[in-house]
Amino acid sequence: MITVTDYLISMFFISVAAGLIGSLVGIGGGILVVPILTLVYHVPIPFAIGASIVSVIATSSGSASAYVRDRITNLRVGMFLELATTTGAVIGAVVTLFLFKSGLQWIIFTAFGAVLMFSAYDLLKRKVADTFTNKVPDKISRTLSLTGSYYDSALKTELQYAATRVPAGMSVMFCAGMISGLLGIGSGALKVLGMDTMMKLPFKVSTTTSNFMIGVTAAASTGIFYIGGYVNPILAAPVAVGVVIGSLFGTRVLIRTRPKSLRLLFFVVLLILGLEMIQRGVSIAPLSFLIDFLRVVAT
Amino acid sequence: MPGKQVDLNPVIANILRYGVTISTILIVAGILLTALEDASGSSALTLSQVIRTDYGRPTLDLNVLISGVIHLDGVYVVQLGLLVLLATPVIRVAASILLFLAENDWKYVVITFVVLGILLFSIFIVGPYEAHNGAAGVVQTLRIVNHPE
Repeated sequence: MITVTDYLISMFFISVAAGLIGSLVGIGGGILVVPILTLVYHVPIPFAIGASIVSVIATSSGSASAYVRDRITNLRVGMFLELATTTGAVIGAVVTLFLFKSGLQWIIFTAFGAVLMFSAYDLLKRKVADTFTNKVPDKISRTLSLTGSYYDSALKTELQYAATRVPAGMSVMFCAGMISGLLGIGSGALKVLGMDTMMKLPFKVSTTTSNFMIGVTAAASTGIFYIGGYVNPILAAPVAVGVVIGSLFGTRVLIRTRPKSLRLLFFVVLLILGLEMIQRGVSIAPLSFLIDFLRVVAT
Repeated sequence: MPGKQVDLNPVIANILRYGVTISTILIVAGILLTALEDASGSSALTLSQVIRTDYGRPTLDLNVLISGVIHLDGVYVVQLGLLVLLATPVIRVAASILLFLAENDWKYVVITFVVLGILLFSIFIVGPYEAHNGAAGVVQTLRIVNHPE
């Protein structure tokens, strides 16, 4: 029997830890929220997603303000790509609620498990930042002013850049938005991939602009979850506050240190939660009925 | 082409910062109030009761919300904090329209209008649709499955 007070206190500290470790290893702590709420506290998955996505808005908006001030974030690139991410997020949220209402929540669990496993893999095999930055604007980036410059503090120079392969980048952004709405996570890694690898924007610009976009993307699906009645204030409150405090602490206190042992710990956590989510998904899938049925037939 | 450059960074940074700060304060205050109500015994609830009865489900009635906040009901204070949080990116996008207007960047005025439109569509069209076609029945059965008590 977990009382509300027990929940508020325990989930607050878990969320602080998730936000802290998440910001230290460079993965949003929000990815841990849904597995913990569903597996540990037995919260129905759309309510877990509702609680998680709220914390994603808070984390993104909280940290984005610092980078916007630093003028690294490209507001035009962000706004333009938000066309794709918000559209994807609305579709993702509608799909996830449809799956839930149709009794197909095993798909959400399994998809979440797969994303956790992928994040674990990504964490270990993290690719080095794409060093190639495109400087010559093409037709689309010229028309849409998807260009800019920022002062690189390491190189001590003003770096010019221009986006390229905009349609490919947009497609990746649409997928990132959809996953964000579907699972209640920020999906920042995919957004960075779209800008850094696809559109050849500088890594620094990609990460800060991605972070900036996460909040607006999450707002698109949160509108649906909140008004739809899936953001329970009691469930969401300790998560929203905890993850923000944890991640602010992580970025302020230990800026850009990514200790190897911490990454390994996070890798193990992601892997275990991923397996658990897939196990839960498979166990409630109609597939198991089929297996049971076959077993009965066989004997 | 964009006209004269107006620095829009500080304005947007401030919207984000104040939005998150205000909502965090409201949510923390709401948690404390809820914990106090819980401690006083009259409303000692278990987590599974909250889930099963959908206790504290966000009200869509602004009058109920306001009176709840005035009466320092923890759940409503948290709800207000969550609403402020949800409103923060929306206000940021709306402010960007004005800022792109000031720069005479019409392309981005239109792009930003569309983004704002998608956000408002989700809040005022899709959200109410989902609330109306709620999963109440499904949730009910799920609760019993997940929380046999």
